[in-house]
Amino acid sequence: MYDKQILICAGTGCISSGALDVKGSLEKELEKHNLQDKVRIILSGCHGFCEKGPIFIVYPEDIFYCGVTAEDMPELVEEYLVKGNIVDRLLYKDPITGESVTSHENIPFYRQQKRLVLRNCGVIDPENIDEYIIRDGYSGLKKSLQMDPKEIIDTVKNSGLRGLGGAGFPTGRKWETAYKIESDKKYVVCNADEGDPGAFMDRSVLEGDPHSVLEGLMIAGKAIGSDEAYVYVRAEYPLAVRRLRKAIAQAEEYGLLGENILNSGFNFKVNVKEGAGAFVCGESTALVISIEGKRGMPKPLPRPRTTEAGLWDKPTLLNNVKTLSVIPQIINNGADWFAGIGTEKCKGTAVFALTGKTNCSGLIEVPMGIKLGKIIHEIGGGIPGGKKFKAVQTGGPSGGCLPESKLDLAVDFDTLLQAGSMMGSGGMVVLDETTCMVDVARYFLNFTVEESCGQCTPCRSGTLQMLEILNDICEGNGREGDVELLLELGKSIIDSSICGLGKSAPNPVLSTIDYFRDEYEAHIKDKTCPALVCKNLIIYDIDQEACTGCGRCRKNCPAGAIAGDKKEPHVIDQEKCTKCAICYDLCPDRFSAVKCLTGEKITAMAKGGGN
Amino acid sequence: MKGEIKLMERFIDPCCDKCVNSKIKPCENFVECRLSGPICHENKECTGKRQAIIEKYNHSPGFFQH
Amino acid sequence: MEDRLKEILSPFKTQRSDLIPVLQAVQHEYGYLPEQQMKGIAKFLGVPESQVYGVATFYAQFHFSPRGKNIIRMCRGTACHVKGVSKAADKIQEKLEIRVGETTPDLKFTYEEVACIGACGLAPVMMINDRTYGKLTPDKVKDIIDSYEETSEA
Repeated sequence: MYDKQILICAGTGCISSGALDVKGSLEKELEKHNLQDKVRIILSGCHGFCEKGPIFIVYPEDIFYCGVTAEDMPELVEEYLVKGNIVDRLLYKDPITGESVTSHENIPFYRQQKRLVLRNCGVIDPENIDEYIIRDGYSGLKKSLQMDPKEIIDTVKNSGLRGLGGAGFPTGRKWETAYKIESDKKYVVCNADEGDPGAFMDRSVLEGDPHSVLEGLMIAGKAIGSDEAYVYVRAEYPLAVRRLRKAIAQAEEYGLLGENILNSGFNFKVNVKEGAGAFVCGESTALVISIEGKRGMPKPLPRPRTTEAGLWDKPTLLNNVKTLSVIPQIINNGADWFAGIGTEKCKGTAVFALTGKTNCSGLIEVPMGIKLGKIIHEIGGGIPGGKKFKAVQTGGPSGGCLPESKLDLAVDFDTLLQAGSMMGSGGMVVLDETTCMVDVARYFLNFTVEESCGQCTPCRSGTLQMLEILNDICEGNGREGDVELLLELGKSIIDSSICGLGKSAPNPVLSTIDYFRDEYEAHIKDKTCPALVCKNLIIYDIDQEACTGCGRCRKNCPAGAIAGDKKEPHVIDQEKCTKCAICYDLCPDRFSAVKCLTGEKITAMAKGGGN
Repeated sequence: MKGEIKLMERFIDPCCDKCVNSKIKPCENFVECRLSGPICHENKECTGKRQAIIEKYNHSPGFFQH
Repeated sequence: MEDRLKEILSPFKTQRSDLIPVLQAVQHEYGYLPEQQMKGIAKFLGVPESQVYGVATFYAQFHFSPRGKNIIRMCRGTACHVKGVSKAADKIQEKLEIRVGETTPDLKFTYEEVACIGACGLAPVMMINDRTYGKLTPDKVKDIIDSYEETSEA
């Protein structure tokens, strides 16, 4: 038996922060103190708190260290594991009180969460099937093998689970449709083509708990009468692909996947398909076509539902990673258990990738119905640097931006949709006062234009037209009537595109116009960018009274645009300035001499400069 | 005791020659048996072997579930 | 068909649905999709060459000219965007003197931009080959590139 178990997070985030070096160093130190047989090191999946990585938890006492490095290991082993003194400097510090927190239970980022989909993420070693089995893994499969398909489907239906891929279609109803269609062959497909910028929950589940997805697939297969599944994963997720393949091999070795599973006569095979870098393949018909080895373009209308005629025209049940991974628990704990969580119309939990301008960012799971403001201010710990909250973007390029007045919203599929945004893939990007809403809208449009498959005109050309108008606005060439034109174009693209990508592409623009129209107007009429982002509408200037001539900006200006003698106020040559903002960032806080100006202030400065 | 536990390092390993599970002839109670077995026979040592794996891997009660 | 290609193709079945995995395997081996090998793939799968190209050109992952030993993928995701990834992106392009999609003449680096790497908690981020680097600043980017310059010379 081990005295202590140390969990080191080995999700993509923590690995890039040096988790594997931490492990290497820890092993060496343990050996030095002859502790290698007393302490077991576990590489776990994502804990969600990627920003504070690498995460390092010691059990059984549950001490949560974060931001540890390989260099910290000698001290940590010596002080904590040998002498038993907690190393305070490596503990989490509350951003408001500055106090140390020893257990994750007391960290606000975790306290408000409820983890069902992410139940095992960061808890088990994802490459060890035994750890999954201990936490009731494959019990749901066992139970489902003894159930009638109808019974399984009823359980899923009664649980109220809705597709966690974003659209929120009732999962049980989808299963029922797939079950009722008669066919010699049916497929189950797991959509792990998580292409939305700002979302990484599917990746974390596959990296942290791959067996739960496999078990979900098998239960789905048993329910609808299918013996083969495909998991379509983004090629940009190499670790997820590797762990999934390893999980499949282990499950096959254990006889939990393959022929005659648990002597029940049920056969099931899981194939992994790597995507090849096309966002549109997250759309169901495009995904299916891509698996068939073709150009991943959505099927033209009218088209049968994928559930009726999908892969090779066979009935195909398509579910998202998160939906599948929560299925085993629903079977295990029953429909009522799941239906008891969340709101009346939206059961269970929602997983968000909370990022952008928050003090704490990472992967979170919360009960449906939680207040938007609670997510941002309590879990996210508010906005850093004393800045003001401006908006929160949810649902990626298909969603929208919600302003402060919506922070009271009880978050679920329906309320977000009503407010002009959507759950979507679960990206939740917090924007502060230094974010320009027109620029954000332009950013998303740029994404859609690049990712449009080009098949239908409204999406291919319409989004490009919208982007050009937005470019004009951001560059100070906006004209009266541009906003109306954007609204009209947006509406017709929504009405006439053939797939979900096109139909939702204008959302970021429409919702920002809805809530932040004054910012559009400021760009168009006053040629100002209130958030000081759009380069053509701002200039940098040095306050002659505040500047002490320290020379920091002059030495670092890549364009050589700053002149001035030592200890004399410096001046920016506006002709040469590329507005890279390096001088603005470098000017010491105690001077704050570099100013960013927009609109009338530019004109005033030009006059004041005596030109 | 330690020497015997080594016979079953992973759940897939048979606890003794009474275990019938194999990939070719899977045992329908495999999953339950790993957690609370053995089911098909009674043997304290076999129970102990399973418990040892559970204790080894059950490092944390799981968190954030409330 | 050359032996190297034959060997790459050996685990695959001659079925249409293996086209994308085959392209991925060939690109993994050669670093890009050479014309000769594209012909070989078409022949092997019994799919017209035009269709092999049709599929390969649709997906952003496939390339038709030699690429650098180290592939840099800068994330242009939302979180990275609002956290100022463009400064890091400019730095790389300035340092390597290449633009998006280009390869350095010594074939050491290729610079690409991708929609989202999915490591938003560490924004801004980039990947070099399979390794992810987070919380980028222009200075940090410079050091990272330098470390690759050194190792590839050693």
